[in-house]
Amino acid sequence: MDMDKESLHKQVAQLLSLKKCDEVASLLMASQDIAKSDRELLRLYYMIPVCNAEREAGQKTLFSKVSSLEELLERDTRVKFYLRRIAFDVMDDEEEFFRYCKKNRVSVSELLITAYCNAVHKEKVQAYIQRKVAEGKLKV
Amino acid sequence: MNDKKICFIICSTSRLYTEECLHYINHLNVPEGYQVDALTVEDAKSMAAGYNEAMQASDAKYKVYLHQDVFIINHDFIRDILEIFQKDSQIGMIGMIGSPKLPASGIMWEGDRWGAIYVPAYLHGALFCPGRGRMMEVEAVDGLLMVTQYDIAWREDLFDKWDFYDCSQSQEFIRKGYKVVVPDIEEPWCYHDSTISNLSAYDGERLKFLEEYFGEEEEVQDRCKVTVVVTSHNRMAQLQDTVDWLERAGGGISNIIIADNGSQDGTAQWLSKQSHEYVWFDEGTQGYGKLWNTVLENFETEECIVFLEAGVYPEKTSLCELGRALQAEDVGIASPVSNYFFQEESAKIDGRNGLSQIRQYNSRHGNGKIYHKSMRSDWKMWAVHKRTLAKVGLFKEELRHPEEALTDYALRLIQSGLRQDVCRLACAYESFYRCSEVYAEADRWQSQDRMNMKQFWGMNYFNLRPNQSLVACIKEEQDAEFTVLEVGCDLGATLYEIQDAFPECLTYGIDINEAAVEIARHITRAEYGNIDELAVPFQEKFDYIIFGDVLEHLRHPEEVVMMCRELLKDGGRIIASIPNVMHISVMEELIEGRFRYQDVGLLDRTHIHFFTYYEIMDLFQKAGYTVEDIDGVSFGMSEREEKIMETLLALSDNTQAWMYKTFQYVVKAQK
Repeated sequence: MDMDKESLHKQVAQLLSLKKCDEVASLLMASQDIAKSDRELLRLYYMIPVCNAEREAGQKTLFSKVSSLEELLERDTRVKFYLRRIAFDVMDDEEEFFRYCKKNRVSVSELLITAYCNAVHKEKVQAYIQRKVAEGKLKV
Repeated sequence: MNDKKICFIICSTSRLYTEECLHYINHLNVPEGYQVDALTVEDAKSMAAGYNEAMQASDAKYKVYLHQDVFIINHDFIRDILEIFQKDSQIGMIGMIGSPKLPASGIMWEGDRWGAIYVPAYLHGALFCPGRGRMMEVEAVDGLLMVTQYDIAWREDLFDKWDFYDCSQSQEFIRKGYKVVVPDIEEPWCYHDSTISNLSAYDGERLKFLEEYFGEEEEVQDRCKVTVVVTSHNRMAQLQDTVDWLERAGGGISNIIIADNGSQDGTAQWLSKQSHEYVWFDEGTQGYGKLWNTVLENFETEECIVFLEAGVYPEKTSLCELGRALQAEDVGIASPVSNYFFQEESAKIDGRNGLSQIRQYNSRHGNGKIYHKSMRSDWKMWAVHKRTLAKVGLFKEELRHPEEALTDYALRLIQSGLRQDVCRLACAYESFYRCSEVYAEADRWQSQDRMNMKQFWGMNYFNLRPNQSLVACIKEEQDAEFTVLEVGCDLGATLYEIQDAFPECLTYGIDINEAAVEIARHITRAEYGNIDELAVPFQEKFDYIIFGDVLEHLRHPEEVVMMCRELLKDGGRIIASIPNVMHISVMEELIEGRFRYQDVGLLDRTHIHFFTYYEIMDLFQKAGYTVEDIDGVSFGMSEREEKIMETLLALSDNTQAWMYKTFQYVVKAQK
């Protein structure tokens, strides 16, 4: 990792731990050249629209729900793993997924945008999410 | 060895990922009578070392080596790989992505690749070339997933890090007489959640790989050996640096000839003490036509000769790659990709140490093709084959400026049925851009040369650059069959580019310059024609009609656009680039009471009509077209221009800043 990426990593991590969520988005938008060549930071770009959608809906934003960059990345990994299992029909325990979303306050915006940016069969996954929202298994 | 057993060997650094990888493995259907086992490799010294350890620990005949972030989604994966192995015992290894021919650089993604995987949509989506219709034998497979039916030791003695173990293992199987294949995959069998990419040790491992596996290709190396001719003028420090760089580059260079163009900075004295062959002109600076010919006529050279200017630094394997490119009989000249190909990124390139950056940009821009057909080469570094010189002849000595001398040669190549290739496996860092940075008299040379060129060819301008913004508007599959007519095709550069991007398309061109049409006929179906006469000399209907800076030169642009409806197929499109007369530079002149015509540009004296955004929209909409897209090419503005624009914007609600900033519009309108 070169110095630029390293210092950007540190800055992003620091801002997240201080809950300065708006500044994380601004910093990322201002440092696209560096951030987009780093696969970890690259993932944060699709989280910005998640935060925007949550803010517009009057909800707590994704960046404010975590206390570190590591936690944010792990959360994103787990969410996309669940969504991918839906896409490829290997979801063994649906209830575990619902519990995870509830416990970690995963919003529907987060699920839909993460699905859009990661899932292969995204329509299938997004339809599943909508269905589970309608059934009351996932909370808006 | 248990030949009814499959062992999945996962290289693990993250428990989370490894568990997910295992989750997918646990969902695979296991053929009757077979057993499945899984081993995770943790804290390995290197990938090869970790895989060796796991290989020895398992008694399974079939082993699947995979990264923790690879998830097998084909539930019948085991059945499918067993079928491949059992049909052909010579197949030693299967991969999901592979290189039929590894590039000389050893970098798999710089060449053609076969196979298919899914990757996250925010990276690319589905990747590569699914459904080629047959299994492909390859020289190397990507380490994301490798399946073997024989145990061959991984080369941990050589590859002690995390790169090139995959190419190496593929080559080890081939050395032992086995085939390495990528199956015919219609739907990807795996998802690669590629989240981490650490290439810090990549280049070192790559060089080890090249030395071990490509070092033996003596015959190829010999065929691709080149003579390098370094030209220089009053740039002794750069010359010394470039020669030193070339000497250290080693492989592929047979001899270095230095052509000093009448320097007065002590270069001649320095040269006299060197062991390299050289020529020095004591009668002063020569034109490039003569400079190049002098070398070609007076020195022994290899079949492939690379000309480069002092201050140009080619990547180590690039000289050999140019030699390789010239092996094709119909390639007359080959040139590398340099930092000046990437205008936006060039500023970020770390000088000659940034060759790997150029490589990265190159692979991102290259559309996966190794050789890109081009009508022109960069005078600062290019390569020619002796076969070409025998067919086309030497350079015209009347032409002094290198760009003009090469333009003349480019036209002669076209007439001789030879092409020029930009070889995307070759890259170079150029520490300067313009000829005038080397020669104070370069501009004078150029204007004299242009007069000579006019005499030779009967034309004023020689446009060998394609209009990329027009080509970019064609959104078709690479193998789509469609037709394109370019009105004002000139020498055919844009149509040539379209043919390269879409080999199955048929291109047609008309132009009012008969001399240009004569050249363009070697490239496309070109005819003389004046579109203002509301007719074209072709019976065909077209999917696209292109006007690259042409409509503003016509007497009847409205009628022409209307008439094109008859020439277009249903749903066909016009793509046009049109200068914007509302550009701030024109407004600034008007405010000063001036509207001065120029030889080129927005106020070209041959422009008959002038367009703004609204006029362009009217032009197409009144003719019944749907404007699908209109985009602008713009450049930076001066402080004064910004101020004028702000003032003008305050005067009208109908204008916006981009209308003043846009220099040229590119419009796509559908019938």
